[in-house]
Amino acid sequence: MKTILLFLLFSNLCFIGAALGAPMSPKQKRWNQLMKLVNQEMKILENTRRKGVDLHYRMLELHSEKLKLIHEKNNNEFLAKSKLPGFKGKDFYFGETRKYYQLSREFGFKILSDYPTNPRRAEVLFAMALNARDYAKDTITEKFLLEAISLVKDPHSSLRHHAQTALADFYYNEKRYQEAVVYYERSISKKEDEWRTKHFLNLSWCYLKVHEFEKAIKSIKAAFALSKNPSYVDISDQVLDNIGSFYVYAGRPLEGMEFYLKNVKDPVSYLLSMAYKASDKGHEKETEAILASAQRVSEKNKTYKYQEDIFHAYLDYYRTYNRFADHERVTRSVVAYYKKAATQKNLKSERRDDAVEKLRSIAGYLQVKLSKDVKQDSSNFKKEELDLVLNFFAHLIALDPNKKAEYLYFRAETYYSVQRFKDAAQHYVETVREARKIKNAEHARKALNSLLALTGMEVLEKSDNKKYLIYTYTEHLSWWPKDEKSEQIYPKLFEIYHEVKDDKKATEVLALYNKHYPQHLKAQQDLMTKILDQFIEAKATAKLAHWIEEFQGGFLKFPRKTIEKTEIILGNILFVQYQDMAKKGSRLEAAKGFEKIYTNKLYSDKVKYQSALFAAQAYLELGETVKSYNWQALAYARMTEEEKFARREDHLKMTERTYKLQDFVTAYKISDFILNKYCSKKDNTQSRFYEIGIMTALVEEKTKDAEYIVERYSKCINKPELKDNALAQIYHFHEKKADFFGLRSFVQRHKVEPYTGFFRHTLQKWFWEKSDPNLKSQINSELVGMKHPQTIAWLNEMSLMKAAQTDAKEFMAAAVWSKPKFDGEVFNKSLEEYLLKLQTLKQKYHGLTEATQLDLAITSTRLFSGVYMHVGLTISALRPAGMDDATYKDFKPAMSQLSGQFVQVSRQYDVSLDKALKEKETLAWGSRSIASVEEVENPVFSFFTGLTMDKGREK
Amino acid sequence: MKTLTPILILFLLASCATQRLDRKIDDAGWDSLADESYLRWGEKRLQSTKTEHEVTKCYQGKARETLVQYKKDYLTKGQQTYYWLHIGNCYFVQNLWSKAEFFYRLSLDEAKAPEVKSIALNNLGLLHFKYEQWEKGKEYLKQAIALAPNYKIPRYNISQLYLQFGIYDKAIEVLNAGAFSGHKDIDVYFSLANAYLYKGDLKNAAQYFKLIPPEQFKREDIAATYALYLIRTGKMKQAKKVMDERDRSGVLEITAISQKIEKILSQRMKAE
Repeated sequence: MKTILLFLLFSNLCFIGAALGAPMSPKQKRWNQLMKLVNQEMKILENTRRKGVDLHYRMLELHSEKLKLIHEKNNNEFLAKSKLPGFKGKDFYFGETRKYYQLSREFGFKILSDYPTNPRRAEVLFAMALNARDYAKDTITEKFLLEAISLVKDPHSSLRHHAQTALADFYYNEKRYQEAVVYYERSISKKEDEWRTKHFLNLSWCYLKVHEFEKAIKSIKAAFALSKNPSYVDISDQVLDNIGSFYVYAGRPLEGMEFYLKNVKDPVSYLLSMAYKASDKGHEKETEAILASAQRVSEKNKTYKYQEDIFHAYLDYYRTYNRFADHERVTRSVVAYYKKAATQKNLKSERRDDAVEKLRSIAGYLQVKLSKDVKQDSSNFKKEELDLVLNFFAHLIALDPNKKAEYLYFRAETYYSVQRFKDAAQHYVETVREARKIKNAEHARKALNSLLALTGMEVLEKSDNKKYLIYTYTEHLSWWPKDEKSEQIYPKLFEIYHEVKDDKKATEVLALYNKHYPQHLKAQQDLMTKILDQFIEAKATAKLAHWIEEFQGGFLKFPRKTIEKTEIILGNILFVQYQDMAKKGSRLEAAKGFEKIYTNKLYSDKVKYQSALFAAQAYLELGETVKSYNWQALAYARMTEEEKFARREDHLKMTERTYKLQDFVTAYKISDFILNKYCSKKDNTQSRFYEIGIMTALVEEKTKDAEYIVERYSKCINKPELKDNALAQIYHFHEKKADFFGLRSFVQRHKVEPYTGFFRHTLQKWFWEKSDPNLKSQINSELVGMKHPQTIAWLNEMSLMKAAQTDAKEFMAAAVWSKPKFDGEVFNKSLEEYLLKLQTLKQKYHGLTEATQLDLAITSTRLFSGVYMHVGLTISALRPAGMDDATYKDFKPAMSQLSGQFVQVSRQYDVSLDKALKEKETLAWGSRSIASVEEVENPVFSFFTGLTMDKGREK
Repeated sequence: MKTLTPILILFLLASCATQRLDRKIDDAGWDSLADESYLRWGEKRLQSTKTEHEVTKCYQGKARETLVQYKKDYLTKGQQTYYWLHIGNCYFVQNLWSKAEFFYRLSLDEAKAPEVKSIALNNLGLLHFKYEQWEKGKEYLKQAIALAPNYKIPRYNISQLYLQFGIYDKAIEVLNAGAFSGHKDIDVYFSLANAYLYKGDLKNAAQYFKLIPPEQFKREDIAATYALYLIRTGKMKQAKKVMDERDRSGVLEITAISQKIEKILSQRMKAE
């Protein structure tokens, strides 16, 4: 409801606007004025009380005038609305006319009825006939005109002439040409009629229609001739427009041509028009002559404005007569013309589109024809025909470059239709290229679909087929990276590239595939795996390295395991040549090779660490342990924590090899590092490194380093006994080296059994073996400081031994008899005392011969042996001062007997000792000290003269 | 001047300490242990004899270079019978005993043949003697003998041990064993002479001194021992001559012994 109200309001406003001041056109003004005048006069006449036939006739004339004005208005409205939306049909707009015609018709009939015999009846009939003719579909026109003519007997009557002319026109319009001829023949006789030229023309048309061509030409020529007379309306233009046709219909087109050439200064347009007519009527040769004539005149008159039309006329003409080669020849000129027209303003190019249409039409026609011919019989076409079609499309490309893609496609289709598939393919390609230039996806799709179909037929050479298939797929993906077809194309295109081993392109396709279809990841990974397999087969290490980097960057989301596997494979490929080299003995070259891999920026950390490890291995095989260590360190820097741990066993083997290659320092370094790093593991490997650490430190005689290992890493091993072993090794090392201070310091740090016990025995042993008095003194102090029952016992023995030596020395220094005069009793007493002293010495110190200290026992035994020998020899040699010879004679045997007992005891000591030492093969300092010749120690004691062995006996 | 004196003494002591008794034997005919050890091979023998063993270079003063070569050869020669053993010996001649011991032990661990183990044990025994760990050394030697009874050197070495500790009968017994029969050897004869001398058996001592080639009496240890024998047999002049003609070894301990002998000779000759 609201919209209706608004519409009404709007309509009213428009109306008000128009009423208030919308400017009125001159035509409208004139109409208003005329209507006003008609209405005013009508009003005056209506108001006239006494109206005769004249007034009524006048009123009929006014009604006719008014009817004309209403019709004019209705017609204007009809014309204005006819092209607008909401047009309601012609009848709707002429309602007022029809209504008023009825009014005027009734008015006329009333006059005829009121004045049946009045002389003005013929005028009323004429007026009503014209109204009926002009404003209604009434049947009264002919009848009323004939009646009017019959009523006017005067042959010179103007009314009769007009009625006859109107009747001629009526018949003409009703296509009743023969009847029209009768009345036009009458009309042309009236020389005063300025429209006589028109009547001649109409008459000529009537003759033409009834095929009286001679009369027709004669009449129209008369119209042309009379038009030169200023007394008549000049209709020469109409004549010129039509006379050509008259000649054509008359079958004398060349005469028409001559007419124009003779009578018209600028006849080209008429000639062209006539040429069309002539052509239509089958005057092939004549048409050609007319066109040639038009061309000549145009050139002669330099009237280039006709050139475009002339060309078109030619095109149409040749098209009509299927003279395609001629058509193509002219087309070339047409193309050249329009090319020129583009830069020269005096050359018309209004019909360029028309030309395009014509060319499209003929090209299409010929293409279809060609295709049909070939379908019937593949050999049923001539090359010229093909060339013709192709040329037309080429001309179209020149003439209509905006649609180049389309024409290229048509050319391709043309080739396809004659089974020239390779040319077709190339043109499809060109179509796609052009489509890309103009960004026309539709053309691109058509051409690509055709290419796809063509390649699917496999009619091209295999290599070409592949080339075009690749092109098609590639372009399709480029245009529509994500559509139903593309989804299928990606894997196919990939396979093609994969097949020809173009990995670069294959992977590019894969990347796009992944970008647009991430949901197909599994399939994409499978495809990538194929590429990798290809790389592996070809040993394309650089490429493998590149893709590993890409994978690590997230490409195709490969799982870590797969990437690692690939890295391992890459490593194997990279390494195999250098491994072979190493196997063949060129280890240095192999090492350098591995170094190269390591320094190559292309490779991943995994490959680098592996290469570094291989380099380390190679150097190890060369005996270059330090270099090997450095490369191990470089490898380590590139490993992940998992890899480091996984490689621990390898490091262990290399460490073992390192110390076997005499490099204990480096082996120690590695052990220290690994022990520290994996302390928490507490496994066999850690324990082994622990052992190596201890062992290498001691081989290098670095006891502090060995103790460092014990101190820091004993918590890192799974075998606690290793710590005890290590400490024992360190202890024995100090002991071997006879390093008193080192040993003491060690035992102070590890003041536990068995080291404290070991230490007591070592010191006790050294006390007897070592000759350095300072050392002996230090050992003594140490033993004293220990306050251990065992050391106390040893010290007591030592002290007793010292006393024994002092006492023995004192005893041996003593004389048996020192008095000047011999007295037997006194001597006996003195000897007894001497021997009692010996007994006391023995009793006091004999226990030492069975001392816990072996060296002391040996020494004390030796002491007693010496003492007894001394006693024996002393007694044997006794000749007391003051003893006479006779006494001495008895005395000597007695003393000898006595001394023999002591010598015997002394020897007994020696024999027992020797026997004990030999039986036990006792290797004590004490036993060494026994041997002497002339109290000179054996020179072989000075150093051990043993020999190392280098080999077994050669058989 | 006062400060100079101790320095000079230290220098002399240091010089003496580095001296070795030259026990090289140039005449292979007098080296019955030649097929088991290169240690007594004189320079001439080492140079003139073709041997596949690199270790000989270590006895020619090229121990360091040879050890480097052993490193390089590890891959190709590491599995050879004497590889570890010879590395040990190269360290041994440099007095780098800890390293020598390591490689002897490695050899012992890795060798399968009892003969090779025997050699390693012999060398380990010898190393322990260097540390004056006599009992341990003796045990190694006994094991060495048990594994390869035909080898002479372990027996010879244990005889030296017995000499060191005055177990002369054992020394004589070992040196008179079948392993040595039919062979001439300066050190074997000298050892036997020494054993008999110190045992007090001058007759047998004299017999073995006679077997020693005259030029070998210039060796200071032999000269000193023989001089003692001559003193015991009352041949002072001869003893003096021997001592006078000896080559001074420069070994501190032997020098001291020689000086004692010279003193005795001087006293005895004066007394006469």
